[in-house]
Amino acid sequence: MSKRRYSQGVLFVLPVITVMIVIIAFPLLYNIYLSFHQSSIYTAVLKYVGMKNFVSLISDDLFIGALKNTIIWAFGSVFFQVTLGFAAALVVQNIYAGKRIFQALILIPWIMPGIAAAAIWKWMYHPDFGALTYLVAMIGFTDRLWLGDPQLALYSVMVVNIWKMYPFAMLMLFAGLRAIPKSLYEAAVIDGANSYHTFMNITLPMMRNVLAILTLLLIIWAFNSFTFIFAMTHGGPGSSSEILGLRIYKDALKNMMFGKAAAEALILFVMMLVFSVVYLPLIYRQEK
Amino acid sequence: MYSGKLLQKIAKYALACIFVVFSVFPFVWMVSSSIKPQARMYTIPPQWIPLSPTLEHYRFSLFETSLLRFFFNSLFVASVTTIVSIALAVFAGYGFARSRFRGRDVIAISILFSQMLPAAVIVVPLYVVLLKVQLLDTYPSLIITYLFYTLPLCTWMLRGFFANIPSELEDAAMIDGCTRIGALVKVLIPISAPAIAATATYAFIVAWQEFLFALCFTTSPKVQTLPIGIAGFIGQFNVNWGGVMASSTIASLPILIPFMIFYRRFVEGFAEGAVTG
Repeated sequence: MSKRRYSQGVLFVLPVITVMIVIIAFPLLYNIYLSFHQSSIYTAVLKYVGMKNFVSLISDDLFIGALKNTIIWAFGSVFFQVTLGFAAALVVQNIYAGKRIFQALILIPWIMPGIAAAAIWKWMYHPDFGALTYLVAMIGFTDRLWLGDPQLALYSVMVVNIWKMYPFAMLMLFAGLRAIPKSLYEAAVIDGANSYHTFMNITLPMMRNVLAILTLLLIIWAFNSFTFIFAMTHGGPGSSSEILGLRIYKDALKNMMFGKAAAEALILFVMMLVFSVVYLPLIYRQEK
Repeated sequence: MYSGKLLQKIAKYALACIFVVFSVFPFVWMVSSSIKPQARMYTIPPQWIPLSPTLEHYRFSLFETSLLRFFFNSLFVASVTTIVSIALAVFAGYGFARSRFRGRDVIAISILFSQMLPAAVIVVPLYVVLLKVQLLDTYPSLIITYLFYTLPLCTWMLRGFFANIPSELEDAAMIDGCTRIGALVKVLIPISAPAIAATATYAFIVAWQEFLFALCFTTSPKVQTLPIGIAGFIGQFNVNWGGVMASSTIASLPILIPFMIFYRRFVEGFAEGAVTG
């Protein structure tokens, strides 16, 4: 390996590495630093308080509420994103002509900008004139306060999250399905298996890794959610639909409590880290 | 037997159509509402097909709100972010794909892992820093911070593409007297043009709808982007829904139009990328 190749390689990647250290590594460390301090209204003054921020969060109702909501939000959304996406992938796979057109149309929610999705669903959820309110009333549900009822608000917004991301799941799962050798299915049919058997014993095991990566990705993105809750309910009514991202935003930019917000963000990060580290080895199987 | 098979076929297409309706209905409703006259918007039951379409909401949004400014801001920020990201990522991807240096794989994996970092973890420190250097409410505050979203992804994607292209062509060019950079520019980039375009498209889409940083780092319509503008429209006490639908449609166009033209590439390219990784 020539020295020239070595040093040139480093030069090529240096700009990106530098940017990432400045934008990611340094702020991450600064966030950890901030979480051990308390800020006053005047942000120039930081007071070291050790673990006080973290300890006080344990008894902070707003934080615990947001934590609970975030877990419901993440796992609930992803469950439906994956199941709907899988169903869509299976359906599209079984179509003879026009697969791509169907996929493209199904993909539209993922392509649409998040804020447009939030706006249109907020309009559809309108208690008096919303399209959804009317349609659902025809089936007999006369609930009208989709976004105005503390019990419903979080779930109403989750529907939007599911709607937006299930096409992505469909795309990835469709690709995974395509990679399964047809010969496996043919052999199973000869042996007399029905579609339930082939699904459980061929399709699912072969899709294991794709499912693992997909769910990990979707859960991470779900933990990162912000736009939908902010634009549609702002965490309300009250704080019934607050998720951690929104909580951090409010504590940092509305309450000017940077130390507290940094601590909350750190907890969010650690949660995701632990989940990823525990989850992936459990599900992902290396190809032999 | 024949009718049984036909029935099966119809059932499959019907199922597929259910998914299509689920996906597309809100979009169609958005466009339909945007061309509905104000008087017809607030009716029970809702008027499904606009019988007397009008452009009044578009006229209102474009000329009587800051929508045009928001649109320009988004276009500017997303474009510059994409250009900068691609420029840096092409070099970095090339470096990762073609040379071996100590720590190369470790650094590459850590770039991938940075995608797992929640933006919320760096938004507070970035805000404090931007506050201190007085860069809040400026274009650079967005362009620089958006690199958090786009740079790792672009680098990783381009690294993958470049690694899959055999290096013989560049080697041949260099034997003919090209420098390494020359080989990159004259040989590899033209060959990977579609892949670079796809990466750039994805970066643009991400930057176009980014919300958190724009919300936290900008405060005036001078610099604010479309998502913030529209969020403002629906956050008011009396929401002008016709205007909001028109604004949302306008905000969706720069992404939807290229998608509708190139949808084949999109769907296929994704399938390949996901399988080969």
